[in-house]
Amino acid sequence: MIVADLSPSELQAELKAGLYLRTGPVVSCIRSHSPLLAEALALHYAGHRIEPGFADFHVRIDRPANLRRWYRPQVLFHFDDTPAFHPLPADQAFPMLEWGLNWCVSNHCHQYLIIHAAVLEKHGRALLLPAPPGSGKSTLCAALAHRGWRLLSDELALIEPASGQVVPLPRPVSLKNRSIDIIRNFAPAAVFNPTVRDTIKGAVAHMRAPQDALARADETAAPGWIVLPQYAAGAELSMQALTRARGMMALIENAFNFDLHGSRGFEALGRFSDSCRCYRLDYGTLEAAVEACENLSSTPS
Amino acid sequence: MSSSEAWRIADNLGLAWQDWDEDEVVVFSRGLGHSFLLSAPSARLLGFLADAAPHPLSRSELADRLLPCCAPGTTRTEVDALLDLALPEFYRIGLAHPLGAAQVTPS
Repeated sequence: MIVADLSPSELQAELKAGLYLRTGPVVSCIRSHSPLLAEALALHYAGHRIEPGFADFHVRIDRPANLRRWYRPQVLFHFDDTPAFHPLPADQAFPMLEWGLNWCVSNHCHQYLIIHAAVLEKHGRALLLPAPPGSGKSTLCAALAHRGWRLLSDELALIEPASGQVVPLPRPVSLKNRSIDIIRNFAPAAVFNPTVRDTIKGAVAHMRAPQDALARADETAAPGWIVLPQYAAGAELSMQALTRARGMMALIENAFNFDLHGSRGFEALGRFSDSCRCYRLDYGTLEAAVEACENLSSTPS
Repeated sequence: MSSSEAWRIADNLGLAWQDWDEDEVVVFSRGLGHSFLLSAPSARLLGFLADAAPHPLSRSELADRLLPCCAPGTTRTEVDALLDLALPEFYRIGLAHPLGAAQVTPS
């Protein structure tokens, strides 16, 4: 069964009792009384499987039991029935769920090397875009996902240490501020929820993961390219080859749990980088960056 | 720095190397829990110190070993300049220390 099989009232009832939602390799049991959250889940997770039974994470998003239930209402993210973050305004319930689910994966799925990177796939090979916030990683990821690349994740690259395969975690792509309109114009077919304003990250909207990403959510990808994107308004396009050592360091520096994997993690990222070509991509327009990535994928390794 | 100044690799580094025969090498220290991106000559220098452990190597011994590994035409002065840069950096990041100086524990 997938989320789209449920009527709006059934989804709300399921959400109140606990919605067992599969996203890639993890199942999250999500509880909430928020109709806003139910609407957003219906939009963004329509094609995701519901798998009652075991859940890796039990999370709940609800209003706190105090006066803030009525006065400027807020929501709290609970992990295993314990509040995990400061409350946020109630209209930020869906962004909070998304940030919370990222936190669950990056803090608990240590069977993987977890890199802060967008990941896409073409011809069976993964393109990793490791980068700090503000580099244009998610914007480029959203654009590529609408130009023939399969979305694996806009935020978390899950690398199996033994095989070096990248495991998909297809979820909505989080876009901020100007990126929202840029992608709306770039990919008119992209599906968004209404923009939520005044979050800690500014205006935020989520773009639904393309259907292809969900249909192939069990297909891992082999290492292919490590590209460090850097957006700057008006910048000339430049795709500069980097040493594998520099590509590997970018993975290490952007890893959430490299310290937990120690020597085996080092060896795993060494093997991974050995199979990749590494670049720094400076760009000023999305079209040029997408074309540059397309050229990469069509060049034999 | 005098040519007789001796340097020793830090204790318990547990080094692992990832080298693609490029200009740069990634070195991981299990003991420190850190990875370092080193230039190929700096990585060789660290390798000499690791191979010599627990014994120290003088600057002139390090220069003697490094010179044949450098590009043809590299002068002793250039190797000395590299040592002037690399050794204090090793000390700063906790990979090696001059004899008599305390080992640095990077934060």
